[in-house]
Amino acid sequence: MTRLKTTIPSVVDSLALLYADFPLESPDGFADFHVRLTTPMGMRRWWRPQALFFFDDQSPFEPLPLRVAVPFLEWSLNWCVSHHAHQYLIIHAGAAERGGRALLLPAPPGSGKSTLCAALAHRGWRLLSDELVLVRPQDGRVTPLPRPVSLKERSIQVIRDYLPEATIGPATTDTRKGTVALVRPPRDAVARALESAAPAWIIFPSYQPQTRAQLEPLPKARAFLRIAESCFNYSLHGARGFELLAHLIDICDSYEFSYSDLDRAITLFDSIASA
Amino acid sequence: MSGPRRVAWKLSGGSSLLWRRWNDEYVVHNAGSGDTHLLDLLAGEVLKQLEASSADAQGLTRRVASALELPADVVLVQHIEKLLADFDQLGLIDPDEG
Repeated sequence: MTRLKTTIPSVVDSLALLYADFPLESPDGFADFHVRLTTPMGMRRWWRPQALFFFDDQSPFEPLPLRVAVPFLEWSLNWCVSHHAHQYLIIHAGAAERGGRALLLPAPPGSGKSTLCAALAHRGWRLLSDELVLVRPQDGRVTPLPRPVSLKERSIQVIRDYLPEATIGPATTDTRKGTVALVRPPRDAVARALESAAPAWIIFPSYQPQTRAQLEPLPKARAFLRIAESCFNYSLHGARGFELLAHLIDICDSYEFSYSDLDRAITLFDSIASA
Repeated sequence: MSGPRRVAWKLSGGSSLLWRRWNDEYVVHNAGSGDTHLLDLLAGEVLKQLEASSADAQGLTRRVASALELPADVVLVQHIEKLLADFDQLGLIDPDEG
């Protein structure tokens, strides 16, 4: 739960578009994070205007140009979770659910993870998260974080073409990640945000042009190291983190995955889900 | 005249190892340092032997050869000496001065 204050018009419009299905809680209710996105006082309010993010009244980042306020908010919210939600093991990964079982997509930027997440979320899978997978230490289940899916550069048009029904916010150009745009999470994903899922597959995606969709089994010990490298707080959890990741590896099938075509990728994922 | 001094090795003080094995590979977490390592079968066996008790390269060769049903020959000794150097660099083991 996040309490957000902002009067920046582009951010207000973005929230209305992309978070329309999220419940609004009482302003006096409990919140995990208290954040503000504002314009600074003084000259920077008007001359080369900037946006400034506050977390519990502290400003952890330098201001950014006001025109990137919308992605700035998303990046900042990701930071809030990855730096403060240590009751979970946090993996830099996308995730989707089908039949109660979760598919984890740990991947560095540029791998096509978010493109896959956006596609899966609109083709029979429930979006669990685009960026941060939260694993509960007590039972190894994935807690959903179904926020807007962040697309970059070419993937924006790929998803506009592939998912004409998806709601995509305006693109923001010239950010530190290039051109970015956000896809509204499906209503069902938001409605089921309290419904956890059991991990079943760990798939390391890699977009490679003109390649056939291919799943290659990954030896479990190597999958362990790969996913540990994708964790924000594996070291923080110490021995418990090791045991939790080992449990994930035990119960999941792990694969390397290369693809160039979304339809073929989804067909392949559908087939492993129904196996 | 005495031969070259044999160095006995032991697990580093403060090391506490957690193990998992899948097929022929180990993942071992050192709770003391927070590091996690991927080891093949031979490297894992060497470290397991040192976790049990200190040994020099020749002693380890005999124990590992027995455990893994390998010939205890000079090739294995050299391989184990290389592993010991690697483990030393990783902070997993220390010379046993006792």
